[in-house]
Amino acid sequence: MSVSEDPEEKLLRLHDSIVSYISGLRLANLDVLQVEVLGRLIGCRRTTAELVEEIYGTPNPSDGYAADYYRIRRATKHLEEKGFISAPLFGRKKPYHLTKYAVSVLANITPGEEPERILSQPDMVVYASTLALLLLTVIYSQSTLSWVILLPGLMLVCLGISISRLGSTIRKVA
Amino acid sequence: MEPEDLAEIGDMPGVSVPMKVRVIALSAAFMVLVGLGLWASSPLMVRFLEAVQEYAALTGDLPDDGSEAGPESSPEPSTPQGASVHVVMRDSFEQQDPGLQRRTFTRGTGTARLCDGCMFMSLSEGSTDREFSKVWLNYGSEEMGDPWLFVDVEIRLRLSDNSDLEGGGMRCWGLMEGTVFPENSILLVSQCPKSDAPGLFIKSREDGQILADIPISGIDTAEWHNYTILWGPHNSTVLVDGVSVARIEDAPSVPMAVHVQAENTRYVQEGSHVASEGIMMDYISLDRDVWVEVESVRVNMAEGRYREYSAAVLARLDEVSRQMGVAREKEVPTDRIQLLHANAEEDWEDNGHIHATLFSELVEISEKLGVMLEHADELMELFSDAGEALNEFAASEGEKSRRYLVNNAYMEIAKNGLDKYDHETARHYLMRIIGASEELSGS
Repeated sequence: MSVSEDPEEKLLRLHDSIVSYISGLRLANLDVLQVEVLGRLIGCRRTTAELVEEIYGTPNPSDGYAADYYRIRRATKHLEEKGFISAPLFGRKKPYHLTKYAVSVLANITPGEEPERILSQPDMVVYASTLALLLLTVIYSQSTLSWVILLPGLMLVCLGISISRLGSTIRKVA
Repeated sequence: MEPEDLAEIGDMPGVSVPMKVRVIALSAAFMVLVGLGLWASSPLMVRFLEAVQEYAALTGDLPDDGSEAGPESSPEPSTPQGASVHVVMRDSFEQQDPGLQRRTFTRGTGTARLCDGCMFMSLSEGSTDREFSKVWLNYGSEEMGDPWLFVDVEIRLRLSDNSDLEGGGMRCWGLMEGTVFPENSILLVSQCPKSDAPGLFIKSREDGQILADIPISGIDTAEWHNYTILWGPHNSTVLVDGVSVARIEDAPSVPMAVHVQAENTRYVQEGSHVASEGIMMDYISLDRDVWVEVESVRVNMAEGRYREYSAAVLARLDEVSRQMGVAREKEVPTDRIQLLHANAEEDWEDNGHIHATLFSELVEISEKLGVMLEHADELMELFSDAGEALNEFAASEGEKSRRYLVNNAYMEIAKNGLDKYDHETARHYLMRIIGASEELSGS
């Protein structure tokens, strides 16, 4: 934004960027508190209690702490369910962090652009092909037809790709 | 710090499953499904892995000599496995390997003679449809029969003419049971079984059932070629000059011998002579001299299969040694198994391979001895009781009494059963002696 820019133009640009940001959020189906939580988790890890203190500044113990804690907890559960944040499955202290999926979705929030999916269409094609080939391999396992020998080869190739894709999908939301 | 009354806050209403857990659960379900699928399709997977293994063997060390090469340029048969094989037997018709049991047989106008490092087997033009003429080359001992199981056979030979030329009789080479009517075989046959159409065919049978009857084209049998049969436990592959020409699903699983033969016959639907179960043949008059010239015969075992085989052989020899020790302690006779064990050890040391018939007999007897040893204590007790019963018969009725003689015969049968590690027979007759003794005491 240049210094000589017209104030009206500035407002218009600001308006456009806010509209774009809100549209993006709608696409990701997030509310303001959830966005705030995501913002607090950029580049660091926080437990629910730390997020309550940072966002609401409510000391513990104090009146209303439990209500604020409940709100944050509801937001984190929702984000976790959508795969945006993740916490260790085991252990007493469970700090949340942003997942690769969340980073990718937030980085691509622009109007007209489809948000990234956890299970992409090519992945689904690979999994379906693997299962279809597996089914054919089982059906023809006793067959003496010569071309049938190709099925296990194709199936193993698809299985290899599937396992690799599964691994990256898990890493995306872990 | 989390609030102390966190427990009172409780969880959110409804079930909330983190995406991570859902993705991991779905992946696990996918993998379980794949595992079950692989298990259910294991026969095909095994076939696929074998095919990959064979392909690797073929591409790993292909022969570099051409199919046109004659005996001068290629004295050794080319092998698709290259160095990764264990040579079980080799006959180059010059010097005889120890343990090699080559036999030839002729009938009618058939002749077989060694000539310039080759075996020359011929039938003359004078062969008529009134007489059976045959020449036959075989590896295996007359006493013990077929020596090999799941081996690879390489035969380098040429025929007097192309298989497509009619009237040359039947010539075949490969693996076959050494019986009068062989029911198991994997053969390359020049002439067509069950028809009078000429040509080169791959023919395989298992227990009389035809596994393969495959015509092979493009091979001029009048030229030198290396014919290889890779006989595996599940399937077999036939190669000509290292190139796979046919794969036979399923495979004979009985010991077989290597055969090369020529006959003035053709196989027909209805004929005057039985060649083997369900196959008829006619003798034919030959319109020319026909011959088979064999340059070399080699029996190999693929390295992987040889390792498995040798591990099984050594384990069985060890097991038999252990069994013999236990048998001596328990007073079970060991003469029969001792003899087989000694022969097998000698065969192993000489050839690195045990004759299939000898090995299968050793395995069978060892298994019987194992069962016998489990019942040895009980049997020895029964022998002791039956011996006492016999003494009672002798004392009370004399050694010429009918009862004594019959029970003494039973005792001999029981001892014979013990010698043959047939514990059921031994127990049956010992119980009869003891039963008769109890009847005598009762009366």
